[in-house]
Amino acid sequence: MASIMKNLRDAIDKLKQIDVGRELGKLKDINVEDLKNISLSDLRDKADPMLLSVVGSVLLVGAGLYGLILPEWRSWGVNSQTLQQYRSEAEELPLLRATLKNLQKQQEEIGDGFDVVRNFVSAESIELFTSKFFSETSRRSNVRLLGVNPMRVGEPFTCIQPDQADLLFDESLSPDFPPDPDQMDEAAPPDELPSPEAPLVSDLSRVFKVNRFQLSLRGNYLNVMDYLRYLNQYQQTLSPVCLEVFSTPIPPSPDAVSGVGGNPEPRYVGEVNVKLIVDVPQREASEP
Amino acid sequence: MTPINFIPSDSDLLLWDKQDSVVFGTSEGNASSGSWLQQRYWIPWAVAGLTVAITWIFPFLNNRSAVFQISNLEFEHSQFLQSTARIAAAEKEFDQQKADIRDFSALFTSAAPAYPFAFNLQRSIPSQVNLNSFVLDSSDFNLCAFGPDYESLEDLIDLLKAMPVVDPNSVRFMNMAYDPSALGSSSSCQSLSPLQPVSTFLKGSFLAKTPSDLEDLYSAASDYGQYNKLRLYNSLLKKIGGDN
Repeated sequence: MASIMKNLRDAIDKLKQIDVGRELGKLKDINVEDLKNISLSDLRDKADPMLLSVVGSVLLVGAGLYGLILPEWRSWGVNSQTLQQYRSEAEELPLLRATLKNLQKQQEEIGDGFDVVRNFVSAESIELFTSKFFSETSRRSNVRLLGVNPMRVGEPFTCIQPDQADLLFDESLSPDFPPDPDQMDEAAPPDELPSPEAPLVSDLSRVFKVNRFQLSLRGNYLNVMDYLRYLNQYQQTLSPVCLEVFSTPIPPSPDAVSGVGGNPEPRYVGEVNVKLIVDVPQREASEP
Repeated sequence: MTPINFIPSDSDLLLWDKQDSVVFGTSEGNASSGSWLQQRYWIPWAVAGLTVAITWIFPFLNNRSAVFQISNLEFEHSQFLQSTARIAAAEKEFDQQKADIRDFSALFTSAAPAYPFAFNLQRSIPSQVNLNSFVLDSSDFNLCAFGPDYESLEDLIDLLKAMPVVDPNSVRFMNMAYDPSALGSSSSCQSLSPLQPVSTFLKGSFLAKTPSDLEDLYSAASDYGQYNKLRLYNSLLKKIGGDN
């Protein structure tokens, strides 16, 4: 810091020593007329011609470099890059054409297969012919279709209750079903009903419009199995969501109870009551 | 035009004369002698001109050649652009198609395995055991069965664990008793038959299923309707590189 201050002080001292008057006196030696009458030819005569020539040629090179050479090199660089790109594109073109052809062929082939799979889900409104699936299948499998009722999407229903040990047929879910006289004669329905109802969200509803139906069936267990199998034979997919099967114990006959003959215990073999909830997916315009 | 000199002729003041001036007075001594060409002042100009010409003509010619070749390759270039655009569009469409196909797997995997379970259950019930009821959805099942003794119901559990669709680690019984009410259970799974006094309530889960697993499952259960659908779908999945 001290050295900087010292230098500054020295510089100020030097400035003070300058004799301004003497310096201005030097201007008196310049003749104003000399400056007024200077012309270019005078300068040429005064300057060294070889020096002028060298300076001029250097200027020429500079101007040429700036005005002609550099733009041309720059343009050549750009064009040679473009040319290289076009050449590589021309070389790649047959490969690209083959790739495109292959892609289109593959797409077409998969598209044909997908058309078949796509038809597993109807695009048309299916309410009209859905009951036909269920009634025809019941005739074919010799199972009685006690009732079908459509369920609203998101309507809660019970299937498996995680915290309950009951396996009860939830009668509250099929209020529209007509009472079955055969059932009235059989064992009394359990009086404990699963209380909580949780909506069951299907993965199908993420992809398709889902039409949900609840079916009530009765029949031989093996025939019920056939019913489930025959449902899968339609082209339209009918996707089971919940299946509840209950045997209907046949109470002993009065003769058997009184000891006249036969087995006095209730028999569990025979028909089963079934509640089946089925999702019938449907394609909408925006869906695949 | 004659310049007007305001200085009187008899004045002692000297008139400015260019030849006598300090600046121009000595220029005569430096004047060139001989022709400009002889003194070779043109050489720097020529060298400069040649330098400019040579350094310009090389890129110029190459540039013209490049432009000519570029114009010849314009058609290929436009074809290339068209092809790449079409490939990009086709790939996008193909990707969408693949995504749509994969979405269809929900059609099979979200369904409850009602038929295969019922089919296999029918084959897994020991002869002395009566199945009272069962419930299943897409992931779990539970069932109530009656048997003459504990052993027969334990056999049922073992057979359930061996079922192809069932996760063996998930099968467990919630109760197994002659009289469930004695255990404080409010279960309705209680036998009314004196010949099959022991009742059990079992729970379990299904194994996670891929369409390929389901194809085997439905084939083994002789459900050829669903099997054929799965076979078609799986062959399609295979063509697009699996379900990933």
